[in-house]
Amino acid sequence: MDSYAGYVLRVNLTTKEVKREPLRRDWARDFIGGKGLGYRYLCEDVDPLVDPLSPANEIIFMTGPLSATLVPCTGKCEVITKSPATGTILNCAIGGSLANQLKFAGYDALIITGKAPSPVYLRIKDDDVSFVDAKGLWGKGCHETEEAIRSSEGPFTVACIGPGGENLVPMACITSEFYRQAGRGGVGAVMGSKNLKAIAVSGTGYIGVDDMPGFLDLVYRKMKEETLTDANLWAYTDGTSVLVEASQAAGILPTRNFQDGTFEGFEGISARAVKGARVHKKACFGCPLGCGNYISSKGVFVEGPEYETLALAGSNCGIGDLSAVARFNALCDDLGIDTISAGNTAAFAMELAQRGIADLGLRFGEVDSYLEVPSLIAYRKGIGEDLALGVRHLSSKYGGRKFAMEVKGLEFPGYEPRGSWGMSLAYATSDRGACHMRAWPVADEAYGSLDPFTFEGKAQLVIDGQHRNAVKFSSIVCDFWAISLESLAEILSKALSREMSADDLILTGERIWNLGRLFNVACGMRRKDDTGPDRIFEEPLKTGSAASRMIPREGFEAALSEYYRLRGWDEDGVPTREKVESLGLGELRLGG
Amino acid sequence: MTGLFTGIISFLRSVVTEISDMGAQVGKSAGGVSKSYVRVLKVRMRSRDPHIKKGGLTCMQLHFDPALCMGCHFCELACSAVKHGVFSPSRARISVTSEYHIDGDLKTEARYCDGCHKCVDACPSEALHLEDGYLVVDKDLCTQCDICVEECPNGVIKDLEDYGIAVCDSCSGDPQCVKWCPVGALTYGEKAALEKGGSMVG
Repeated sequence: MDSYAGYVLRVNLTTKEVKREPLRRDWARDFIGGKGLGYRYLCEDVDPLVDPLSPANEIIFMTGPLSATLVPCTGKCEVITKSPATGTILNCAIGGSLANQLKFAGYDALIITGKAPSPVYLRIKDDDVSFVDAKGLWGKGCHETEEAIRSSEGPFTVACIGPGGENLVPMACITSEFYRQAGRGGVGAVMGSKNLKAIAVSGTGYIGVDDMPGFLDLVYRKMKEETLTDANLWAYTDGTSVLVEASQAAGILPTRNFQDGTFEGFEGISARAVKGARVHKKACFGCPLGCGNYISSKGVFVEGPEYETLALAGSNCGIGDLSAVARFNALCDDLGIDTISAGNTAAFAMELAQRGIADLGLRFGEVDSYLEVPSLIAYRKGIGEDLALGVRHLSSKYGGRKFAMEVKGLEFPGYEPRGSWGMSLAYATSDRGACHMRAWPVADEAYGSLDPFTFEGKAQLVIDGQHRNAVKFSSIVCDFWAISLESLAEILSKALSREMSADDLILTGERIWNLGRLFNVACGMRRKDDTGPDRIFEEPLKTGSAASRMIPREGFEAALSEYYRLRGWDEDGVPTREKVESLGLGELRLGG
Repeated sequence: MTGLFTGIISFLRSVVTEISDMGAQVGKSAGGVSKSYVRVLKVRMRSRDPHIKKGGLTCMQLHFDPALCMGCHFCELACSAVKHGVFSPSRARISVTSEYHIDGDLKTEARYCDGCHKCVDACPSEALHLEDGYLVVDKDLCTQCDICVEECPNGVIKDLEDYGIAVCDSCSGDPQCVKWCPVGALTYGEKAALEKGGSMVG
């Protein structure tokens, strides 16, 4: 016995075919689960050139071998698809209890393809899988949808889309348990394109391991000695909002569309402000850290806002009022759009107005118009038709390419790279566009002790981070447990009854990373796409610890070349045949 | 003596009420405050006779503080792992609900054995009984009539297909749900002495 459920559930929404098939054990061995295994299935099944919003694209809900166990911080479910926002491969994690319910229902993965003729939700109760008419739910927000499904089905875990996903907004997210999102890259639009309003899952089965007493002893010890420690407990005491103060101090808090790295109103959206409004702590299923802060601020209830929302929809829009950001956040969660991309898009439109390039009615610091943005985007109303398509589209249409803060069409997360140069390389080389969840060198640079204003050693730092997170998100362990690969290997070895070392995991991480790159290369991605907006290379920051800093373009390009070289990729960013074969990917044929 | 005890107990009950009120109204502060109150409470309780019995039964039992629970479900996973050797909340003898509602409510509840022992009284075959104060099922006597399942006011007792009647025996005094609860929302102690204090010492 090992901690896989052992089966994959395949659902074709066009034919209504439902198939339960054994897990590909050979792939599970090489790619673990979660992100890696999801990539493997997607690469087998889907042509990299597929239109992301066509029925031929798949959306995969992938658990990991540690999901539904007592291993701390294992509540997340990975959603894998081809992104409508970037045209790249995409994995995006969602917290809550979806992964656990899928495993207890008997599945390591749920793979959905096709398109339903009319809106449905998928109901999964163990072996019983059915398509439920969702015409009455179409048009409703995520919160109302979830409440309605739970009241008719009972205690199911629901993951659904709102109007954003229904209207195929490329920044549409999937929402579960009201405030947990698979936010980035437009996974919600993929569900919308399939007329899939929601999935509702309830499992009554079990997950086992060979030696339960030994496993419990190991996991309990790890939890006490390595999870519930100062290195991780910030998640419980403060949550991600603690990064507002840290970023302000380091001069990397995105401010007014990344025009600066400090915000004079940061205290209003700080961890202290969030804590002051907190009414309850909330965790994912299987997490002892409980990063969630359920807050009440001037009549607004929301779990959050997380750091990314405070930064991109707060300081980056010139908003320093917690209740305004909380309302923006709650609206986005309910309407089903990503707060990071929505915040960036609003901020970009604000700068267009500031510079007199175009007036879309938005101004830095103006709350009323700002609070209209989520609805305009989700319904694609008026200027929302443009806003919904994100920063890259806006800059192509109206101008401002130099300060369009995106990579591969995905808007920046909340770490100003001019104050932490490794982040520019992390954003440029991330498999899904500008992202903080692949490598996070800012922890060592701006928040740590490494010199943030040099590229020396940063290519390797970024590579190490990408491999580590690829393995964590395949296992699946949340980002917020800074687990060592040695401990992860020890736990996986016990859960799967086969010996694994940290080196094995690093190699697996590299294999997963290269697989994603092969898909993206087949989509046409090359060195030209691994870059950043001109602003980070040409405009110095004005205030704070990183004042007067900007990134030397030649230094960046040299670091990128070094990154490719260390990876065994050619100068254009294509994995060499030797590298591909050394990772056991030589026989791979991309699907379709 | 009785009067003094009743006085102490009613004081302690007022403290407990105060805690739960705080939890309901301002969970944010209860998160920090109730822990220290619970600590005070424990110290006070320990200063009393540690072997309070009622008809030979121990009064130790589980206690759940919704203000502290964040819905990680470790209690369910630990219970099923220890009792059944697998991770399976549907087999656990405790269950937690932690869910948001559209009106802004975060519903936090737990179903667990609070030691009322109505199941023992109701069992027609005397299969359910107490050993050293812990609830046990004699599988030889149990007919799986499910009367205990119906009688349990908290819905804790289950008749599991591959197992039979599953009850909470507090892990014989070392409840694993409490051990794994990361935030101290679950505790194990003499709360019965508070809730039924009057009658117990009466």
